[in-house]
Amino acid sequence: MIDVRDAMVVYPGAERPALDGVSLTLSPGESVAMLGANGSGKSTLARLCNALLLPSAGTVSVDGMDTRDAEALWDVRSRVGFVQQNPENQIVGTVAEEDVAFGPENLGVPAGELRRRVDDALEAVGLAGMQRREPHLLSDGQKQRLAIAGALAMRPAYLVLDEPTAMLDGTGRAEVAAVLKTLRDEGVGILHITHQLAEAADADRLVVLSEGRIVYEGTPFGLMGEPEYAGRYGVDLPHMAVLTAELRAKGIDVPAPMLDAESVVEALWR
Amino acid sequence: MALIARGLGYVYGQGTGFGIDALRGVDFDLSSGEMLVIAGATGSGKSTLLRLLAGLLRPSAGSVTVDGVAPHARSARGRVAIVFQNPESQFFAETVLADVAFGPGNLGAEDPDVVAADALAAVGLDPGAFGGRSPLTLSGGEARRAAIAGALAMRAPYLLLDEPTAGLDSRGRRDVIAAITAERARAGVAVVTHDPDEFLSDADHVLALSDGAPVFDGSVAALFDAFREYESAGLRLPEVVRAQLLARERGAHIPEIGFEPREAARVLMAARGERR
Repeated sequence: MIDVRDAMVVYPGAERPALDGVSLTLSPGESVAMLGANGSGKSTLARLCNALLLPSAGTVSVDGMDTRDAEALWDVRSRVGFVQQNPENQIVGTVAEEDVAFGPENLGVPAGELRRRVDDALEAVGLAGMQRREPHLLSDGQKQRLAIAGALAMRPAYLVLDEPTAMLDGTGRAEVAAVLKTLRDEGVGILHITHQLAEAADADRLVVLSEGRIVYEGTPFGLMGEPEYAGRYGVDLPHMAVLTAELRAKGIDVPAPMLDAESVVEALWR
Repeated sequence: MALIARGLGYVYGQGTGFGIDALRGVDFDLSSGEMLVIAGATGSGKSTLLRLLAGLLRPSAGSVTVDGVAPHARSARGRVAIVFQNPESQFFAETVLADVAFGPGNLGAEDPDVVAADALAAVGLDPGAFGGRSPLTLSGGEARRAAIAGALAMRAPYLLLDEPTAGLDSRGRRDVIAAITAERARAGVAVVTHDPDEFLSDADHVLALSDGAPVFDGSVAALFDAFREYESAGLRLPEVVRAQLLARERGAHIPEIGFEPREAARVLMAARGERR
């Protein structure tokens, strides 16, 4: 389990803490979505999970290992995969397969196993067959998926993704969402930072951060039923959730937020 | 006076045996006061098109002209401003203000710092609070807004933006969309996006690309009439708009499509009442 307890982070020269006493757990096989306005502390919290950043106060532990323990650093980092917002900052290989192989190769994974991991990871993100493609010839969305493959090849117990789909189109987002769901079902703990509540709909748990504090913890659909509350914390409700809430207020029988146009038109003209 | 492309095509790595045919057969017209939305899936050639229009790539086929000259010509300098997807890759100055002021200063603006401060305010970054900071200390959303301010400060007659709202929260998106649509008062604006939701209500024209080739080129109203063809090319309109188009398809009388969800709810309720 990743266990963040009363974590506080103060950046040098900052007026207020980036994180102000945050507690959060992530278990294997669980997916947690995290939303919040820019500057709410989401990325800071993500970086605490694999010791890219250490808390100024409070503790962060990964499967019982304190992230401040320098001896445990490699163990912590190999258990917690990390995918950043900008894939260009994480791509190191000259061709796709080399990039994906970089992590596990460094861990000394034998050649046969390495080949399998690389191919599996590329396939999982929809880049099968692109093994020899040079990263700069990939589109930005494909680069993002390559970065995810690089983290997957490490076979981490937890995967922390900081807005991994910000640059992807609807198809790419759906692919990544499917990958994350499969990984979750296979027992990986997923912490998915996103701006899109619609993307968080599949998560087991939703956490909303505002000014370094957790202001909502519950189910994604629970928050969709609270448009005013969501708006206050810089969370956009999916437009379709707003539309269905309006229709419900006007007496149309739509018991739960409907996110697709077909269902709404059916409900209106049935 | 316009930014024009005819028969535009581009092959990455041309002649190497590993060439990738990224764009072909694209015509493009952008005049001052217009907003054009370039839609398409990831890898459809949208960003390549912007780079060609800005003169950062030379076309493999066809031509680009900016007010009659090639975009890389000296006389076209400062006429096309571009904001890339990754704002971090654009910063180089020590402070946010200096970074944003660099473009207008280089183009001979009288008081570049004032122009820069205005541009920062336009994207919702308080120049007093952010102007003196290092660009490297900005959060992702702030960095994106600062990069857009840098392009606005150029006051170029043509403004090209690649996914300007990616990674922004709702407030940031509203600020940026307002700043960009306001630019239409003095410039032609082309916005590349895979989510046409945000700019569709302000767009004069939509160009949709799929696998490097145009699949739709026309007005927003024409796009709505052809939405099934648009979807069969793998593109998708905002779900709220789709609901109204699906209702229309079933025979509901919907003269005007609502873009905002509350407006869409009113439109749908009115159409439903009328039929009964």
